Amino acid sequence: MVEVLVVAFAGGIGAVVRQLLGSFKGYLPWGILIANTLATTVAAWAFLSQPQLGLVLVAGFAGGLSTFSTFVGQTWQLLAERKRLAAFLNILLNLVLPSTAVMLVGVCL
Amino acid sequence: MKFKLLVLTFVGGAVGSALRYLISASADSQSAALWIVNLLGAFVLGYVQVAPRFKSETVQALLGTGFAGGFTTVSGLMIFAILTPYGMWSVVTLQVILGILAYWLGRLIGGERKWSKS
Repeated sequence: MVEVLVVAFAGGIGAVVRQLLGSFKGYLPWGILIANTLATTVAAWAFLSQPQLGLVLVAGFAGGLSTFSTFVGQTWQLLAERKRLAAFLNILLNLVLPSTAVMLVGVCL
Repeated sequence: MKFKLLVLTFVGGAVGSALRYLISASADSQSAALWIVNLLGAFVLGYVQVAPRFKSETVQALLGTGFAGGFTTVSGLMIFAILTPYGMWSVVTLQVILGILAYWLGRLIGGERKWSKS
């Protein structure tokens, strides 16, 4: 039960940080891209080197900070506006930047 | 950004994250847990963004940005895809495509009848 509360609190903080970043939009929804990349970096670092912080950082903070639903929703919006290149780039960057971050964390540790 | 909206996002994100954790802790495989939270969360977000009774920005912060945002995860998907032996990029790509369709289905069931901005 305590672990659920820890995840909930850290996830709530992550969601608030994401909301603050989320207003940063232009050609692409940059704020969510930053949130997903930052969250994945934190999660990879904790997953690989700080297992005792896994609950609070991986399941909690990074899980709350990153979002799949808003990412696919914004991609759908771009498609609905017939911005096919932007939609494609949004998907590509939301996969490439976080995964590059995981590999960099892995190399640096 | 109004402080009230941040508080509502915190509450929604906390509940969504706790629920995601409970699903991932009780699922047979992390792959199955990720499919459930991400497709269900995408559907919920689409529904919430369109359904007339969820129109207010307070409900959007609580259920959309907070709950549906905190419930779903890209960081978990990336960790699974790269740092565990079960991850496959074809599965990640398929999840993104089906996620877009799940979000769209949510919008349609939420009451949308044509492509439009929200």
